Amino acid sequence: MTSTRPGTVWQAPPESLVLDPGEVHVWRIALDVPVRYVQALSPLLSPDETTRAERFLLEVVRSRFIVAHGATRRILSRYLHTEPEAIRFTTSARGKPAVVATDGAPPVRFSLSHSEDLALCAVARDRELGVDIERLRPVATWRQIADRTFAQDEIQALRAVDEEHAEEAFLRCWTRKEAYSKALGEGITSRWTQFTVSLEPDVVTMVRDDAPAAQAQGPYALVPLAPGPGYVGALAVGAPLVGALRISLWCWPSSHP
Amino acid sequence: MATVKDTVLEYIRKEIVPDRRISYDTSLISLGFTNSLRMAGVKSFLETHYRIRIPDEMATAEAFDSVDSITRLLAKLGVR
Repeated sequence: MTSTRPGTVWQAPPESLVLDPGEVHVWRIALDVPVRYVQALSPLLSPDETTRAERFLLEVVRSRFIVAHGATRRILSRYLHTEPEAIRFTTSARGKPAVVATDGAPPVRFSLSHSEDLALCAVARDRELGVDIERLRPVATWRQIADRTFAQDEIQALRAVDEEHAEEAFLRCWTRKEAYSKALGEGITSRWTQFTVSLEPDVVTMVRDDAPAAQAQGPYALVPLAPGPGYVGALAVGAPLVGALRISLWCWPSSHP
Repeated sequence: MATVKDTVLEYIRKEIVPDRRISYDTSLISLGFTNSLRMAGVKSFLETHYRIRIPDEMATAEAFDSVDSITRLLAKLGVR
């Protein structure tokens, strides 16, 4: 499906982007950018997004939110062939965001995640997808979280990881479960104990989920992402998984933001 | 014995925002400290400490926004 070390090489995007069926584009968005970028992106946000940004008391948090959402609009506009500020979003009953389709525009599905100074935005036309990123950091209560949140096989797998690498394995597991949940539009629920992801690094794996609703959606692949030093990420990609799935990794801003 | 509010405040100060200025009504969302992993940490702590189960529909970002809102959530579940 992909090379043996997927999700590691991020490149400047080409001038003209093509997103065909069978392709997923993942954008790595640098959130700590010069203030002129923030000023350029801020007017692209909807009134609702602006209200959410203004709720943040700390300038750095507010700027990162504006860049994440403004850059996502810029990115999506390249696929939708529309102005960034004209894109309208809707959310499902359980909070999954989606682009409101407009007449004549090709469909685009996306998922956005941010952690500290990086965000990931995954885009596809023909399948559901979810993405998650976490800054690698000490999580003092990770065992308690895992014991109450993860599936039994995942808890067992974490116990087998040596102490030095256990926290990273926990965060790897977390990003995979969250990416899958975001793809399904479920959020973090008690159902997390009922599906299983692999902790194996660097390889594409499949989610094990026997729930009838999940079975009806078809299988999901989990692609590990290496957004940069100190970060771990995951991309969940839904059916159809037949044939080659091509994943491109792009940087934002590129040399010409 | 520590009150529910002080127990929650101590957890927030220890695990989420290491700042003594955090008080009962400080909004964690406004500080940018709310994310899914931190919410799961708070939820796991509360469920373990108080031996309760917080239903999915009650585990919202707004419910976990401050010590005050968490205390209100716990009160609904009989923890006072």
